[in-house]
Amino acid sequence: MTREAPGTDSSRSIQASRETAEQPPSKRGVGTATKRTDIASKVRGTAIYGSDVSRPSTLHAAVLRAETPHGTLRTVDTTAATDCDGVVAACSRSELRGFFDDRIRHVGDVIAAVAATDRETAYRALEEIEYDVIEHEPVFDAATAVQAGAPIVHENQPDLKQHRQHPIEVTNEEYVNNIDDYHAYQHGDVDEALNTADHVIERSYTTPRVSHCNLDTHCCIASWTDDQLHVETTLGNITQAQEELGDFLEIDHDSVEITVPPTPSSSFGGRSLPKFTFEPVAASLSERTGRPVRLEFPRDVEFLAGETRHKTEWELTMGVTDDGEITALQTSVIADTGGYPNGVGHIVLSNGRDRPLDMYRIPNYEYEGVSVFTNNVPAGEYRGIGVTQGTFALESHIDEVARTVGMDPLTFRSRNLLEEGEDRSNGRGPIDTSGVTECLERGQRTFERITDDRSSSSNELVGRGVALGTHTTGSGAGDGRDVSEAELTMRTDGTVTAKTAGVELGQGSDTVMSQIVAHEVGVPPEAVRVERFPASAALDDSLGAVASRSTYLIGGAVRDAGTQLSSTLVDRISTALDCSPADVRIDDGTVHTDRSTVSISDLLEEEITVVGRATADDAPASYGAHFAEVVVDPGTGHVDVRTFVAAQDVGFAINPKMVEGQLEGAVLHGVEFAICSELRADNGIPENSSLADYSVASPVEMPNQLECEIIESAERSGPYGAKGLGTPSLPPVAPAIGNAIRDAIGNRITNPPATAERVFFAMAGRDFDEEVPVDE
Amino acid sequence: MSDQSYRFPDSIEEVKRILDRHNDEVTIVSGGQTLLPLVRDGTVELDHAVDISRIPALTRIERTAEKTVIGSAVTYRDILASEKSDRHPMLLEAIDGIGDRQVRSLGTIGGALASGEPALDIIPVLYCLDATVVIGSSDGTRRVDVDALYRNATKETELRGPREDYIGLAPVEIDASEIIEAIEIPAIDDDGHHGEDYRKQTNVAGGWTISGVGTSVSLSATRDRIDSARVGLAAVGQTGASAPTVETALEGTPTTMQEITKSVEQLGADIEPTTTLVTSQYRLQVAKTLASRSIAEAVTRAGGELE
Repeated sequence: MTREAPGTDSSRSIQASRETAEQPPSKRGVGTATKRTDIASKVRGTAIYGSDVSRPSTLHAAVLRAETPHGTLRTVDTTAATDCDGVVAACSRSELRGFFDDRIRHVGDVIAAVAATDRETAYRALEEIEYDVIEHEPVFDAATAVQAGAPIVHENQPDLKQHRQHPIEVTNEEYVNNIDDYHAYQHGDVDEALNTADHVIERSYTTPRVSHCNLDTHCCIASWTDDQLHVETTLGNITQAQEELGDFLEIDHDSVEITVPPTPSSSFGGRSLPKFTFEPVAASLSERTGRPVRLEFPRDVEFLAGETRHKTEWELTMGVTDDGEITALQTSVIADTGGYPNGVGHIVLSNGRDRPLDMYRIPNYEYEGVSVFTNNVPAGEYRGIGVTQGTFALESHIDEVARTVGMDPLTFRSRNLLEEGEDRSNGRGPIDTSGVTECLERGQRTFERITDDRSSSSNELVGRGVALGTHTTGSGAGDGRDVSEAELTMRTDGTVTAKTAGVELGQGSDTVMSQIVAHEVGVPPEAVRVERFPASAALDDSLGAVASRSTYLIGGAVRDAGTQLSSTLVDRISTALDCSPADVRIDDGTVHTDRSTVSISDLLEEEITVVGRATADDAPASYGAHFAEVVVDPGTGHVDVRTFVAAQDVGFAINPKMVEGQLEGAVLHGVEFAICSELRADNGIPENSSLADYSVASPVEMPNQLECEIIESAERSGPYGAKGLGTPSLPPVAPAIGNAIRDAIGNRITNPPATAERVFFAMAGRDFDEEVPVDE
Repeated sequence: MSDQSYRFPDSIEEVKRILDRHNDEVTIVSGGQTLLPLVRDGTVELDHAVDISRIPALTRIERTAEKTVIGSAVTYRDILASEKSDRHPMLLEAIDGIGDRQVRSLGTIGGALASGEPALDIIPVLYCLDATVVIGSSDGTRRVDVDALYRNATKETELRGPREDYIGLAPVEIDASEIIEAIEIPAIDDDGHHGEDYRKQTNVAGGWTISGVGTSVSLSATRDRIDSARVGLAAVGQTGASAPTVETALEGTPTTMQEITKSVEQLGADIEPTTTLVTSQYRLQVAKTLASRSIAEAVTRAGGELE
């Protein structure tokens, strides 16, 4: 047998190594691979996720969704549906509460919705709804949609109560219509620098529309008590979600309360904020019926209305000297927002603009980005908003530039890296902690060690590639406006309840919080119960569990509370034992003094409650250097990612095992982005909106050998030196693989995914897009 | 009959009686792995289901000196687990790569043949193994070659969406009053000159087969010539496909890579590759690559030395 059956890859190995820069005090909790608090329920299958939840007397909703991408609803008749046995209410789009107009903007947009006693009845009733739609000319290409004369999907920057909207001034005369957001920026003199550069390299790159494909499909239960709306669903950014929902439904922010199911579902950005055709629909039906209403997306609707990563088109022009110094970079990007904004078009563009300057010294820089409404399915947040796409373009381009100059791509990068303490060329001040040099050195050392003795057979093409990536921690502003608070209560039995703004989305934040409390207070991690504080609590938090801020900022608040709790506890104990606070040592829930050893519960007569707070005065950047080795089958174009090394600066690994897990997850996501996934559409209709037809990566697609190098640069502003990891670890993965494929086949795939078909035709020296006809 | 029903008959005879009376209304469910997704997305209406997965006579594997008989409702998993199927290595290696554990645990060999879905790996394998399909009805029993099920089928099947050219239901020459009862695989007269192989390409592990090629060859006594060959193909046409032109070209040729490649170059004459998931050009190219490799491997396994 020359092939291995799926799932039987016995040679695969994963290793993680860690060289600690600065060890924290040797208390139990922080810096150790403590077992996850949720591991038993998830492994045993007893965890109750969002789509497992049902509540008494709940109605079930079904949504009639548009099959055409663009039109105006003339009539919607729900009479027959309302008359069906078991149907409690049927609402046309215009009868839904909030900002629903009569326009259909994408396949999957809402036409009407039904609430019935069971799900099947609700879906059957949809067939009884009659509607009449006047079809409009659709537009699917973002570059076309932004031009004058294009069909109008939305007026520029429509007010749909999305957060983060800001005034824009469009200086590009060709950008006229359907503008979601726009950014232009420059420093230095790019034209002059390009004119005088020894080499000018210009290329285009596109990144695909992809879906999160969370295992648990979207599910929410909406209910009203008087004027108070309650929505039970997984949302990472609860504070802003409550505000957005309130604004959209035209009720007070305080009238919206979002709670998460017993076990929140995974997010990867797909569950950060509300979706136009989801929570508002359930809320409307619940208001109409006076009963709780449960709305769950079928799998195909996940692809239509569950949001996607923005499809982007990049044009990069770079000027360099003969000896490999970057003198100028000119970047233009067009992002496809789809039919509705999610408030993150802005972030796609600002990340595209700023991240290159966190990595490289670029004295002359010009950037223009526009996010554009089209009649495609909506885009939204997805791990590494804009930075995943931008890093693919930039790091692919750098690889080409290095080849043009005749330099080793790694040496070229090192030559242009921004150094620790060096001011960024956009004037945003210096990089405080950058482990990027160590990432490069250790990553390369490991990569060479494990690939050195590899021989390849004559019927396979082997290639190696490297890419760097960086992303900031938290909202990225670092202006002190992003805050989080946490409340710790120690009970007289010695256990601690931590109320935080965290949402355990699978990233392990509850475990990290319990470790921090254990570390600060001296109790075992198992004695710490982590809860999400309710919306009504008098505790502050800006953004919840998004933007890699959980450990950094929420963890910072927990640490602050932990030190207070420790101090108060020691005072109480020293009073009770009549000794000096300095003589009290608490370890693993036991109090040690010179004279005695007793448990906390024997001494504590009243519970202690403290509140801690952290503000993001910085937005530290995390860095990664990733290395890939691929094997390409020349007969089929199939790409096997054989070896991967992810060297990642995490500041400090509070739980090294979970850091390793985050890195492995990033590699899986990156492999998927590089070689597997693309949501294809024909006239706005997704062609592969099922898990049978849409390719997602499984363990079989993971590298046979994966090594994670954990670099710790001891970030000054983070708890124990930690900084964000979830987002920053993803961007370098796909370009490292893309660069390895380029190395293997001698041609670059500029439009991932590098499917076997694309690689096959690129290898044969043919231009896939132009010369290979696609059959009708 | 009532509006909807889901029945578990006890015997083949009972199934035949139901089919005799209501064949226009009932749908046979075996493992449901092709059918139920189509029901769920509305492509197929399933009002009256006759589930054959619990009928003892259809879930048995029997083995004699001459042949292996596999009941039509035997699951892939059970074929893999049965000692009685170990004389057909190509069958086992193809099944091992089908879908995922759930599909292999529920999907059945007869269900695959009856769906005719040309992306299913089992059809070209059974073709290469010269299997006979036993089809019964209240009128009696008939036996046909695997490829005869699809060769002249013209039944119009209403389909929709991007799947219509090969994923889903394909034309199969089985009447609505008939049921596949068993698949008979003849024992190979193993004189040490026989070799077989199945391989395929998918976009991701467990995904749809983009191209699948199975080969069985018999070599000459001196093992330097191909006496006869069967080449079966998955996912390259509207229905399960064989490659008669390539087979003919292979017969009598020396066991050299050059001859194999030359024969495989004629594959385009045997198939009209479809365009679902990949372009037809790519599908043809991959089919050629896989065919060369599969034939070469089968020759090697037959003891031939490739030059």
